[in-house]
Amino acid sequence: MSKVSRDTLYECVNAVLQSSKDKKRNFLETVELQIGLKNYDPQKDKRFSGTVKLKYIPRPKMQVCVLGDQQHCDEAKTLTVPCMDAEALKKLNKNKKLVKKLAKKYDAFLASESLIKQIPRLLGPGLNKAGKFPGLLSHQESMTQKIDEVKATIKFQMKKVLCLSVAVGHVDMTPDELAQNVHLSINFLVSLLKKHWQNVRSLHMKSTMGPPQRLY
Amino acid sequence: MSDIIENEEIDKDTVSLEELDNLFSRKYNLLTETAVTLKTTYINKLSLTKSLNLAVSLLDNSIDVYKIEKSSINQVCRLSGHQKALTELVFSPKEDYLLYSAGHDGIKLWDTRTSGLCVQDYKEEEDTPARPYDAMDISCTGRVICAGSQLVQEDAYLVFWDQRKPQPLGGYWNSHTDDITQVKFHKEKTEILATGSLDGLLNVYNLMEETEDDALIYSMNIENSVEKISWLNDNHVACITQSNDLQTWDTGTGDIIKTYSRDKIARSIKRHRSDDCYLVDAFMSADNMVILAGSYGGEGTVLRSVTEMGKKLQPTTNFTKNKQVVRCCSYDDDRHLLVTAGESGLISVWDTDSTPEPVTITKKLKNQSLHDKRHKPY
Repeated sequence: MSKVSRDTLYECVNAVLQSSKDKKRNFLETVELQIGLKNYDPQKDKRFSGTVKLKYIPRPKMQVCVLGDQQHCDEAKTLTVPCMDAEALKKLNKNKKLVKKLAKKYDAFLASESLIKQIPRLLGPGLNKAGKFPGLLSHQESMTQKIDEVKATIKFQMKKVLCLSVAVGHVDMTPDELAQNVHLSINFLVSLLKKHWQNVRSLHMKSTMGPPQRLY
Repeated sequence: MSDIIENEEIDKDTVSLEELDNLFSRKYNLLTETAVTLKTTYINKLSLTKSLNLAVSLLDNSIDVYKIEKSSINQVCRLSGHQKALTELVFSPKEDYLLYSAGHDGIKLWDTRTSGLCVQDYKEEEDTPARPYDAMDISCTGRVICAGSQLVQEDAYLVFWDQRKPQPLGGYWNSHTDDITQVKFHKEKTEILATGSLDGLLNVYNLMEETEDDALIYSMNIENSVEKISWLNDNHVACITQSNDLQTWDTGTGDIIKTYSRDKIARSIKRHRSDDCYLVDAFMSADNMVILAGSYGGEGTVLRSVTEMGKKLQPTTNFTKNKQVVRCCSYDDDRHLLVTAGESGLISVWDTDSTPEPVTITKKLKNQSLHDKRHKPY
């Protein structure tokens, strides 16, 4: 049974993009998917959450810094990816202000296996406190791919209220790119819900400053 | 691009009934089952002692205490007192009549003998309103309580108490940035603590250290919200995520050991739809990790266990008599007894190492003692 037809999806996507063009802002607007839930009681039902990698990067300006071993740092330099090695981290001397400054400078961190386990010893809980503890960067995967993965991954988190909202793109994307991201996001979200579509009350899309467009 | 469609297929087994019977070769016996109340309720939390005292949480924030004996569950008392959400229950590892409960209005200690009494209300530090706690545990010596709070303004707290006093010993609030969902002490080392949060981290602390900075040994990035943590042995921890994946980690080295995706677990329990698969818990049985999982599909009664053998998940038991979506469990390896509870308000006690006989339950179990010598598993 069709829940959101291809036509409705594209109508919505185009409406969001159009209203952003009509009133141009001086920053790149994000496009959000807003979900209203039903038949779900946060007091008794299990909470759910999940991360999914979108096909097109929703936040292109996201800055990722690599905390790397020798090999990773060498690679990072050739790719002009910001990086720091163990020595550079030690130089921060666990100074809370400096660690906080480092955390603020980047949106996310990746760390080599050998370094990631030393983070609490090298930096204290500063990255934890900033909500930016690094993800694992292994030698088995390409650094560029991993960084793109980090930039393309979004998280759905159910909290205490019956609505959630997640960034799925931006207004400089083509309708196709946006539609594909939305398609993937909705299917993924539904897979997390216990009763799947029976738990979805409504779906809307909007750009940061634009009006919501109803999808479902 | 196609329409976004609803998958209306009902979840089903991926093999025949006969094949299921062959694969899930470890049989069980449903020893006894009880409904906690005539009204509909969910049981989301339970705690079981070595002496088979059982406590379960009810949706009205009260606690039912039972004694499991031979082949029956007998109610001991009902404890009422929490005005807000009740979120965790833990029996003292030392005194099996002392029960700790955590909720959004604080931590309480109950003496469950006879009619049950609240003997202690643990407070916050001076001038601080009650924090909403979603997680709690007691150290293996029964002396230290630790509770994990939701995000309060910008901090998520781990608060510690000496169980003898209502005032807290202290707290940590720098290592998690979102609701703390799990707090689990090491089973033998009283100073080792594991915590999990919606922020995607599984932290391990050594509480002997002076400050939070020094106490934090590892932050293991689960990269997904933590639903449940279980200590498997001296340095292995199992972590179930809120997307129903399972990861095992080595707390000695800080390395991830294995990841089992929801997909893989669904296939191992021989079910078709991985988006209907849910995980209950992971525990040790005779030196192997057992995963208890189920399916929301159909009636929501499918409940099966698989055992980690080397790199594989071996089908183990198919609990065909299960009647509900299971939310919590406790496994007693010495007696090979599994207690489950869930969304129909039923408590089920399973003997996981016996052959069912075609006689009525009461008749068979007259001769069976729960203290039988441990059978060798198949």
